[in-house]
Amino acid sequence: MKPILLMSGWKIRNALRTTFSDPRKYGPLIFFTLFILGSIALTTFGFNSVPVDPANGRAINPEILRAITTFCMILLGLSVIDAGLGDQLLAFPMSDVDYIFPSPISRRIVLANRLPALTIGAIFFGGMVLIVFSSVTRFSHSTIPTHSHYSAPGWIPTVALIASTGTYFNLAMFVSIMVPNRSILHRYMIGVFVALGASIALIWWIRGASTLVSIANSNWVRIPFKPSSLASDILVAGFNHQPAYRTLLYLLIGYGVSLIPLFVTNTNWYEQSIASAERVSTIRQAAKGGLAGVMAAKSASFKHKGVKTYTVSPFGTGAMALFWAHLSAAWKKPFANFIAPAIGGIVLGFLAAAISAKNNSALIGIGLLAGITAYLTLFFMQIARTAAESSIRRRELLSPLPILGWQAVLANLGVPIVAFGLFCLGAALAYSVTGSQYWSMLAVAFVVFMPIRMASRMSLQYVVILGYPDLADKLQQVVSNCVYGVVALPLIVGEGILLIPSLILRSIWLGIFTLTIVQIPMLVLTLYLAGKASEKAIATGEPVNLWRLLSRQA
Amino acid sequence: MLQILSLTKRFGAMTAVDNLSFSVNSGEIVGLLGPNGAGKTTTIRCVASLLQPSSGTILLNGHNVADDPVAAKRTLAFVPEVPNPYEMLTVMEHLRFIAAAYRMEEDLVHAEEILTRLDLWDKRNDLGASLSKGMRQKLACACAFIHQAQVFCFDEPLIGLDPKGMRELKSMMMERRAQGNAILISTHMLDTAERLCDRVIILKKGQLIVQGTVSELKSQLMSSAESSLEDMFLELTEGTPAA
Ligand SMILES: Nc1ncnc2c1ncn2[C@@H]1O[C@H](COP(=O)(O)OP(=O)(O)OP(=O)(O)O)[C@@H](O)[C@H]1O
Ligand SMILES: [Mg+2]
Repeated sequence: MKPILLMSGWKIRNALRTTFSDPRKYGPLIFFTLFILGSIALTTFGFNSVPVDPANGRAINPEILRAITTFCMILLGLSVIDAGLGDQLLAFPMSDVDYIFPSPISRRIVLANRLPALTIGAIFFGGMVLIVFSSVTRFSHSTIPTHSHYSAPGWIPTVALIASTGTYFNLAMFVSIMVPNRSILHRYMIGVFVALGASIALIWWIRGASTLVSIANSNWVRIPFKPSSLASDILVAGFNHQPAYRTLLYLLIGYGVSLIPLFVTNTNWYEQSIASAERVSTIRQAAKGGLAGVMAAKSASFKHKGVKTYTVSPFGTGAMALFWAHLSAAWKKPFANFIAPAIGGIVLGFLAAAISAKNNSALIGIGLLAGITAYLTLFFMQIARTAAESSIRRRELLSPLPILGWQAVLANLGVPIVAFGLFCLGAALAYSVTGSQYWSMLAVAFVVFMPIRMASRMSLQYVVILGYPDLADKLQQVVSNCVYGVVALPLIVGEGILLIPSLILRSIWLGIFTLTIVQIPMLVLTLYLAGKASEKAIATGEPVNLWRLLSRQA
Repeated sequence: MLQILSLTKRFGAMTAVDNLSFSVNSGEIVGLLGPNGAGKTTTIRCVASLLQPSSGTILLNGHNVADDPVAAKRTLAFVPEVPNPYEMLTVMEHLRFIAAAYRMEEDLVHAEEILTRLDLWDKRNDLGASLSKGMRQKLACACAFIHQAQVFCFDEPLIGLDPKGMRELKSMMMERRAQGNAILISTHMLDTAERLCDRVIILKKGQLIVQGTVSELKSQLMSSAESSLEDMFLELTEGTPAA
């Protein structure tokens, strides 16, 4: 343990020193960490006893509250376990592979070294649930029947949420060290999510929401997902001002027990871990050979799975040719890249229409559709991130091409934008052909507003990635995500502010119109910035200094 | 010192190393040769227990790598094909970490000598992120020589080194051989292998096709005395007789 602790100490010290000399590197991470921890602390202890007018406040049924929390915690738990099936948890930095794995430090100690990361994940996600939950209950003026004021949850629910999330993290880590062929399970897991979403929508449609609540509170759900149900019990008890010490104790014991399998097993998980790193590095090696090399590496890996490979016939010139090359590469996986988004959109559109009809309120269906779309947006942003990162690796290929920066950016982001566009189109079409209420507004929002907004966000992310392209270092990716969060947050707030006039005038059209109009200059601006950054990055191969880029524009 | 007994490593349906047995004795430098994809890296990674062998046994100084990896690895120094230093550690901190990880008693007495020979002493306080490719390679070698290993495994250590670095590294290996250590290096530089290695092992598609000293191989193949290791290598791996 000692050598690794020593080394971590040096790493942190040097990182801090670098931060003072070069704030680009770790400044945003520190800022974001303080921001998150501050928010969690404020939510936990602050705002005590916000008075709620019982006449105005809507009483909230504890059973519904419990069902919703249980459901959210289960969803979070499944997402965490799903992350364990991917490469995230097991992918150690390559330096650890080279210097720690061959050294006489036992695997258990190396694994123990992973615990802080798992705990930070648990604090982050548990804290997020707490913040979202508290703000929803506070701002909707919901009260528990017996009380006329809202109280901050206090430390017990906070610890409970973190412990519950942490238990799932430990399980996910165990899964990733034990299961060699995780990627197959990964696909099943996506199936589980889709099935779960579909069955919930179906039950809601056929039997109504009360059936859902009773299912979530039944032992069929509560026992298999014990960490989720215990945490939700504690949260509900917290709203009732009953400290649930004993339940918390069970949860903490469960957390401790979930650590045991990690340290009892003697599997040599180094091989799995290196395989994850290797996957990345083959692509990276191939990237040195340019776009053709990447495609060769990718098609080689597809040959295993018996997927047909297509030769790329060139089309267009300049940026168009680049875009076409990306499309052709993506077409090798037509289902994942194009068909699934379109079908997903169509299914969701019909589902939203059906739920609206069932409940006699278009808003429920549209709300569901909007919520799911917002969640999926994260996936599409992730795809765009990968596209942007691989464009950096192909620098040598891109630099001699006579393409304007912004066109190159658009070409590189083409596939995720097209995929998202197909999703939106599918959803809008399906919703509109049913002729449900507000269909025209939804169609405009989905076909015009959303794709433009998405393109603008993806270009913004592109700028940030060019500023933080150091792919080898996991921490850098976190930093880059944080910077994007810091940059995007004001935009989201701004959009909220822009909606105020339309809320006052109660005109949905005005809202859609304002937001769409604003997105167009936003897109132009972000594309321009991304283009400039891309030209600079391609020319120098150096990280782009975001501040300098911005100040030169000013 | 290092014994490999019928080692087999499969990746799915693909057999990367096929029933391979050989040993490296103390005071011996053995070259592991073979075309790309022959299974050299896979073999060396199995020795460092980075990969789990599909079957077979590896003994390091008598310790079974599978049963007692910590004791086995304490006697091993391993230099990977493409070393990745820690971006946020200085050169010296890398050495300190290795010293702590291998529980060295006398603390880094040789650090200055080793770093000076590899031209890294002036860089000792530089962060890993700022090192050039060759320096990263040298740093990994310095880490290998700093602790009291008895078995050395180098995966293509000479690629990317400047002439002086190559010469120093080779003479450091020869000093270690003189001290009775066992050294296994995989390489594509056949002329170096011919001069440096006491024995060579030639792999092809994961199988050992021939092993022995260079002169033994020559007599086995009944090649002319002037034919180089390169000629023999090509003859063995490509089936084209030397011109
Ligand atoms: N993790 C892995 N998964 C699947 N196949 C692998 C993996 N690692 C290596 N291989 C395959 O095993 C074979 C041997 O690879 P290895 O890296 O050992 O070759 P090598 O002799 O070191 O080649 P080189 O001279 O190019 O370094 C290759 O065909 C390679 O494709
Ligand atoms: Mg190799």
